[in-house]
Amino acid sequence: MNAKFRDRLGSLIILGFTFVLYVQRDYMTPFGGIFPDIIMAFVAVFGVVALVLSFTPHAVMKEKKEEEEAGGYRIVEMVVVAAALLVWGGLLRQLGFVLSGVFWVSCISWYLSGRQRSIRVALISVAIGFAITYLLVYIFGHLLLVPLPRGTIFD
Amino acid sequence: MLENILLGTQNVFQFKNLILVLAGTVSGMVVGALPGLTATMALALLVPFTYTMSPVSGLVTLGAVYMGCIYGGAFSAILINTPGTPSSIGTTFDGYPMARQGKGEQAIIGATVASAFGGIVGVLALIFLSPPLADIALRFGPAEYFWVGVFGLTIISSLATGSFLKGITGAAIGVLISTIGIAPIGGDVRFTFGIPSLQGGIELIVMLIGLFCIPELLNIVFKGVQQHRTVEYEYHKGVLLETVRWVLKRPVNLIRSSIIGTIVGILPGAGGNIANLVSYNEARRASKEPEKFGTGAMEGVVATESANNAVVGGGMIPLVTLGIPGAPPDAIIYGVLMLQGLRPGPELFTERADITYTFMVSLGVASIIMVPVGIMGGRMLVRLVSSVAPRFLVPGIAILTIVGSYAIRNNFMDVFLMLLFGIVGFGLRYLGFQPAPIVLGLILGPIMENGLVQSYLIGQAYPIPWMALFVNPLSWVLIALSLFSFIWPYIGPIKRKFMRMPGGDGQ
Repeated sequence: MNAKFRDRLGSLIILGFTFVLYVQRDYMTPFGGIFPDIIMAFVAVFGVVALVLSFTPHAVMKEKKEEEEAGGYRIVEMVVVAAALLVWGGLLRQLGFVLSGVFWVSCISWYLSGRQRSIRVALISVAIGFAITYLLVYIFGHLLLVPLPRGTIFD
Repeated sequence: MLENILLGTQNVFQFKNLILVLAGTVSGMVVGALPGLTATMALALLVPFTYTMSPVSGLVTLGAVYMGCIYGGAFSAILINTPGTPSSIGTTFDGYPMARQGKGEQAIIGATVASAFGGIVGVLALIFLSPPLADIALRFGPAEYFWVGVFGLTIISSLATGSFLKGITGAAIGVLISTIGIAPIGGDVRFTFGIPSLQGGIELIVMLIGLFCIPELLNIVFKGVQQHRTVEYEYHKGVLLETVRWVLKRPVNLIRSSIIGTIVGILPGAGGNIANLVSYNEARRASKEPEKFGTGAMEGVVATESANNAVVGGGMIPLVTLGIPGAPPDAIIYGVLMLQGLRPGPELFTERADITYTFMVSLGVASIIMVPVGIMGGRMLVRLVSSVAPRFLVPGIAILTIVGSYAIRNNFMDVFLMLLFGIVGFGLRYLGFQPAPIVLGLILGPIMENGLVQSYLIGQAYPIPWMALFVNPLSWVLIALSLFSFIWPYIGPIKRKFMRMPGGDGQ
């Protein structure tokens, strides 16, 4: 993806975000709208300027060669971890902190082992999952008295 | 006054109080190092314990926890690129690159010395300059706060690496995100998409953890470096003395940043989160090698850490003299003062001088105690983090971010938003939008909005309501400062270009 394309994509995302907020405008008093309206106008102008510049020789981002890591980028692994994190956040209420913590920490740790995946590595990952989760339960739940979610499936 | 200072010093050095200062500083450092747990939260948790303490013991403990918390934020900023508290945002810019280059120990030592120095400067200002400085803070009205916000935005020229346009766009997006929730004036519910949890707005910490930490985790996975270390550790003989000497040999940066921290601390509503970014900007601007900032420059770490600890003393100035808390942690200390029957104002410096000066001196002592404790703890943490394989570090930090973002308001939406901001932040970084300007916008947004709308309301008395933004001479000073700050980064290159031109002085 070259710099100009990144500029165009970035500008369109910004303009799209501003449009979504603009559609959501539903102010009851003039005071609530003064400030966000001004800022929205600024964001839209900046987005348009960046978009226009991307079609000229004065693109905002500069083309630079990035050194690729040995072995290349791991897009699939990154997407899997990002999706796992989102699902973790989404299921936290249902599964509770302990169960989701042990499960996800173990799974992500095992998944990131790459070619070394084996029963032994899986057992180590589960042990690490238990250790980290219970350490945090102790610090946050017992010492700092944060009411960590127990999980609705246990209610 | 000298008599009272001596009395305060005597009180602090009583065995019981000294132990409380030590325990408070250490526990504050631990809480500060945990992402999601702020100084406000730590102090709020501690308040019930102070009920059974004497006023002196209670205040001494609270002060030490506050000082330790602000300093502790540097650990996670340096080691895992996640500011433990919003006051350490700027520390990530150079602290984390230093840790990746095997200079984590130097960064921790530099941050410790700078924090202690900044803390002491703030306390000295608190002891000696309280009344006149509090008077200046009272002259700031809504219009001045709006211009303070605008002045804060001008530091984007330093924070936006690569492109100024993308930096200012990012900041504007941050400001726009800060308007989500119930409007501070008017009470309108804005941009919540019908989700009740969004009515309280987007928590700064949620966005901080998301934008700084999650993209870094994804980056580790993306670059396929699972089998390598994320933070390197290299043993350097004599690193402690060498680093301390390096930091102290550059007093201008330390003094300038500490003064900035103290002044920002005095302004109600502005705290360590703004002070560390402003001082980072000024350090970069004054540096002979500004291009090194962001790549692991010790000057950057020193600037942010001295400024954020100076805020502690600075923030106490309007609190003890006028009863105006400069920041949320100050408001909790204000509450404890009231609980103990101590009313802020002149009588605090006369009738209750023993308690007041003991509290002030204890803040300075906490700053000094931070040095040995912080250096020992910090060095151990560097070795620990550098020895953990990324396949354990990635899920370990992920669960820490989840519990940290949940702990703020016990809200599941905060966890989901943090992860969402993280993933979006990773994409935005790839498209050239850095997280720092977005976070700066989120911090300054509420200050600017309150200032603007209140000025507009006051301006109803003028033929043009917006005139209220320009009537006070202090506003013009801030406008001039903003313009100067905005154009300053462009003056240097133009001057150098001019000097290189044939016939220029440089020829």
